[in-house]
Amino acid sequence: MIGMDEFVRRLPVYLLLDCSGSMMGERIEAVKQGIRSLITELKGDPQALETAYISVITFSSTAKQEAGLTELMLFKEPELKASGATMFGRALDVLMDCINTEVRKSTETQKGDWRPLVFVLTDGAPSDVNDFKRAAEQLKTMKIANIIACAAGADADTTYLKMMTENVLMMNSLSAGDLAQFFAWVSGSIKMTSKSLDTKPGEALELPPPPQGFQIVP
Amino acid sequence: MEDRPDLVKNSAEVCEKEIIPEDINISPVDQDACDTVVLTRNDADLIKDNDGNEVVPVDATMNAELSSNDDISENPEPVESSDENTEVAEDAQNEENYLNENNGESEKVETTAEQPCEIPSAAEESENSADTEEFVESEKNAEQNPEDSEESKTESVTEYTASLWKYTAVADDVPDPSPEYYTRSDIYDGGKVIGARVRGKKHKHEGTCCDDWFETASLGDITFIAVADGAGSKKLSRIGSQESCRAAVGFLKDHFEKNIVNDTKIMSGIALDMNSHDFMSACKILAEAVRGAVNEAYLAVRSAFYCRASNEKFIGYMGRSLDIRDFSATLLISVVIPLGNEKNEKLVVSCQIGDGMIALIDTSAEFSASVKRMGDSDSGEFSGETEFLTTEKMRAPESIALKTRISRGNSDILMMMTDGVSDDYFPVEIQMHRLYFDLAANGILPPRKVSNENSADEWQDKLPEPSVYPWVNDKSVMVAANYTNKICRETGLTFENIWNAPEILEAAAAKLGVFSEENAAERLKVWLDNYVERGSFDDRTLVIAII
Repeated sequence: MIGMDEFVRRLPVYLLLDCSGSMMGERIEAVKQGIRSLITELKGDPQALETAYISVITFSSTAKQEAGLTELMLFKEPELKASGATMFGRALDVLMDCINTEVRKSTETQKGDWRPLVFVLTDGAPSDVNDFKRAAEQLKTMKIANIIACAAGADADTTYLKMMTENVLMMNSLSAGDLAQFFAWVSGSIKMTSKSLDTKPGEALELPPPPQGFQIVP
Repeated sequence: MEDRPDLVKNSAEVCEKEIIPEDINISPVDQDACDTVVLTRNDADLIKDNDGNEVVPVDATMNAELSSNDDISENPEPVESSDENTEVAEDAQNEENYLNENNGESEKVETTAEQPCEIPSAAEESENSADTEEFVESEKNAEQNPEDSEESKTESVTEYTASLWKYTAVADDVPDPSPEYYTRSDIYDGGKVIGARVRGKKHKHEGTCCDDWFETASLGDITFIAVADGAGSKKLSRIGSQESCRAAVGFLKDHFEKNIVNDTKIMSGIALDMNSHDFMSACKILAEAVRGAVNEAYLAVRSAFYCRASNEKFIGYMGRSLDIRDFSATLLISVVIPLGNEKNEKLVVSCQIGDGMIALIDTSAEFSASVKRMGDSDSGEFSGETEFLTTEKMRAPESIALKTRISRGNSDILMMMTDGVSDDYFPVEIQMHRLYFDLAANGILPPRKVSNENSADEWQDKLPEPSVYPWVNDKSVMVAANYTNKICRETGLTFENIWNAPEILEAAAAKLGVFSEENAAERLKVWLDNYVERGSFDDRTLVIAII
């Protein structure tokens, strides 16, 4: 019976997380805690529970999908470790591959998924600048997802993020408190998106106001 | 499956005529103004399915001239002269062959639905408390049988979320609130029409209004129906859906009375040979009438917007100035005209703007030829990316023309629904039967009549017990959710088997203790309000015309 009648329209959510060396220690622990809080928070929301599917993609010296699109109830927190460079461009390629293979498109016979939501968190600049520029350009023109990028800390370069999306946030510190706020905001954004799933394409994504100390990069 | 396999391009005549709006009202179409008969390329796509019915998406472009106070841009069509009548017939023939091939394919698709597989009964499952740990546990068990996992996962999630969904009444200070329910049952000369609209779980959870609406009307034996779904992300879309339904149905009734029903050329034309010029001309006029209704609906929405634009209450409610897009809604329109001929045919003209579904069911037909879709949801690559009446490009004459379809045949049930229902019965070609079965099992529609005399009694013991849920408002009313799926899963019956043995549905209805078609609209409301599908929490509206 699989695929006949129980097809659910999913809201695919990709978390693209910078796990380069600079994230080592307290920061990566705060990220892990953030993911846990995010999942717990979303599990209290029936709409998110029925629709949101989460995937985690990390990038450091390589980029890989740590957890495939999984529904909230079954989501297991991936083991995250921080080390190495910031292969951001490669991560975008992984993201595009994942979206192409995992996200169902609407066809005559298939109920498509909702447009994916991508949250990017980075504290630096890409090590693979050329790859990044190509992939960012591709992402922006393909419009295959609603992307929200967050630059964390003084070293994060928002000009790169602007290449991949119009929605760029900046948080000034990488303190555990700020990271926690970031994930709380992501959770609010997912809830809000799962509530306005029939927003028309091209219309501005409605997101909750960013937390205190975060700026929207114009 | 092929993209719209039932379509083949074809030439046909088009009347060139003018619509001259007076003030903001579109004046009635006068078919005598049809002084120039031209042929345009691809103007009408004539479709004939294998039971001889025709579905004609009509291009009603007709080079309409619109006055400046209507913001629909004028889009002249390329005009060619042609006399390709013989080609028309040939194309229709090719079309028939093509369709036959395609039916074979859709039957192949059907068979995949037949694999029986067992799932724990609802009673067993409901013993699982709404606890995440147990959910994960049951999921592990389910993994042992991959056939089961998707299904039980889905059911356990909805059981878990059932306790999280809240019921919140709409706040008192909401401007122009829409009623909690809207249910209608009308016995018209052309048939019985029942319709119900319920507030979706999402709106109940958030205490917001239901955004759907529908209206029905009749004139003699002609029936008019409009259904609209206000955009969930637009806070005033409930007003848009109500205004557009009322205006569309009101316009059609008025327009038919003044300009169509007394015109023998049209009324006899629609009963003529479907390749004839007079038939096509009559269809063009009817398609044009439907387009007039779409325009009228838009103007009504626009007026509703202007009326509120400077109203402090609305500005306060929105927290900003109003935009017409705050009133965004889809619009589905159908007109049913019985031809009164010995074949008891009906002509159905439909127009669908945005998502949702219009489908015709012929209960006298073979399974594979019994469902006809009367519109395209026309959504984007991803779900929910639909278009609305307030979208300017949707109202362009050529756009409306592409969304207009005409069918003549013996279909006896017309169903129109918003995506809150059609999404749960997708894809329509396969799932519309299931919708019909679910309705019959719940005593909302009669099972189809067939000549075999098999008794429903023998099925009583063979059918699984339905998973029933008490209605929130009245616990004594039990509603069977997803019964058709359960029957198919546990007995191995296919949709086609059930179609051919409607006594199964009689037995199913008997198990639920619902025989009577009395209060069908009320039962429809209760059913819509209660059936559970994962990820389905939108407003639900379903209008059924037994024609």
